[in-house]
Amino acid sequence: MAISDDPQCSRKTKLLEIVSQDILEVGPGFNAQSNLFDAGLDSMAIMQLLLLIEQNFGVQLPAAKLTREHFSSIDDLARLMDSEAAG
Amino acid sequence: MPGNFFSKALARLTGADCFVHTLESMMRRNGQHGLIGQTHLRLDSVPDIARLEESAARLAAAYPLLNARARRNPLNLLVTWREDKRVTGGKLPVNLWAEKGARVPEGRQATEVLSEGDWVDHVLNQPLGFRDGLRNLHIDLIFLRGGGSLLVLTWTHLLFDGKGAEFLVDALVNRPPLGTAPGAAPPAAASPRHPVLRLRDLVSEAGPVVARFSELTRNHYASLAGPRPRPGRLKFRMLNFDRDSTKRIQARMEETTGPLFSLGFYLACALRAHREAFLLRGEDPEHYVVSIPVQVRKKGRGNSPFQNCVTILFFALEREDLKSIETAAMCAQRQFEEMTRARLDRSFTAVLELMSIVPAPVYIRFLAQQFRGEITSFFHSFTGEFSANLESVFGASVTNAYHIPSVSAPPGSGLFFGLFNGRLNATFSWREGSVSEGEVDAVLARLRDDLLGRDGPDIRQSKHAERAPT
Repeated sequence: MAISDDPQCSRKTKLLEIVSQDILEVGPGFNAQSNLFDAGLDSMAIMQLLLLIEQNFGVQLPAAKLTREHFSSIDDLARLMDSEAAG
Repeated sequence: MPGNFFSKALARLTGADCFVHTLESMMRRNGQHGLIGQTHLRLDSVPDIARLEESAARLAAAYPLLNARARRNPLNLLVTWREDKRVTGGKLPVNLWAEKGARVPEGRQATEVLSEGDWVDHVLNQPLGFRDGLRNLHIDLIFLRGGGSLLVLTWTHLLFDGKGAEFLVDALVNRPPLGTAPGAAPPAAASPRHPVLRLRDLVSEAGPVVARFSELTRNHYASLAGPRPRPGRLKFRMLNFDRDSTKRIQARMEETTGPLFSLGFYLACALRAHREAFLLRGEDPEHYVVSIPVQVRKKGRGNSPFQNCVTILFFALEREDLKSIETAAMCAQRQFEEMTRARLDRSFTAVLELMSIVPAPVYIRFLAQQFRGEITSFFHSFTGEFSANLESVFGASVTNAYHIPSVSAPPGSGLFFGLFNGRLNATFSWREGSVSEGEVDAVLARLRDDLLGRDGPDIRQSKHAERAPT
């Protein structure tokens, strides 16, 4: 499977794009493993991110699942979305 | 001619800046001087003053906005910052003060003051330009009796918001930002086009929040000052929590609204605290409306300090919602989600942009009519972590950092929260005459109990600026 066909890969790429373009002022070297809270993620940014995830991926993340660990990095967020998609 | 619309234009005021401009106009007409903020950095020793002075001079050269004036162009009605040649050389000195009995560094001269509290009270209750020129920012260093020092930035809210002040602190202490360096010029305005040219789009975007205002203003909601503007000295008191207490507060917050959303919890605490003041008066208002500023800057460092980069969300809670922290916080959280989903943040930005061309007297009259004089029951914000990982200022360790926000009357009071290095700071600001000393005690007692739980440990309460100035 080509990388571009891999839904997990393209989801992560899209998340990275959303976070770096719409949510956070990121520096060079920001990637899917970068800590989002260190980069400035706060309540408003999380709420906006949840809505953008809904709009772009059609996934409504349940409040009960929302922990700091899930939002620590784009990798962690993507894993949460994968498990929601699988479940 | 200095400071008129023929001077060099530096940047256009945002819609949020123009709201502050209007609020300040109302405040100045009513003996309240303007919306002046202070940022305090408590230091364990005296920093390298020469390096601090060099850095301040560098800021003044890099940021001409620090010595600019806001002027409305009568031809296009836009308000812009313009160079003001009355501020000779555009300098930014560091003024030195010493509490009586404090040691002054060798080779330095400092003006003696009775106490830090007296000095802060005096400065907060003067117009910003009352000393050494018409600056938008003053930098002062006070040598304390105990051996440490207090670095104070006093600034006009017209120039930046609390987060912007923190970015300016970053620039002052030369911390390398993530990403691009802090720009000398503010970010481009929301749109470079005149609001009239975007009228149809702005009116369409403004629709949802206009509908929200109609709902909010259906019921009467009160502030402690009441609807008529009134003079009064700015006063404040702080609660400074240590790390253990802050961990306890954050655990309480997580149990209430989850680990990710602090807004609802702190708003609930602020509401219940204000209700105590009303109860002491024999009142128990049925409705509260609270305006909360939210940053529109993309989060992260590397941002320009300048402009009020905020929009406002308006929360409406009723007496019944305040019966417990849990019900109040969950109600606020629900509204937060609903308003963000409905993009009321963007909608209010459109309103601010539309109103930016309205001259202050008309703007004030509009607000008075639409909101019956009460734009909010009280001011409130939670600014989050103060300039993450700020450890020292030119050789002196930072032991605490927080803002002292000003409030207008109405509403007469505000409760503001911020974190520094794992410690919560809460500032209650009020206008004398709007809130009595007994009511202040009641507010803070309720706040302490709600943050910590009824049997919380003692915390340090700073009785700043309560004595009359000398």
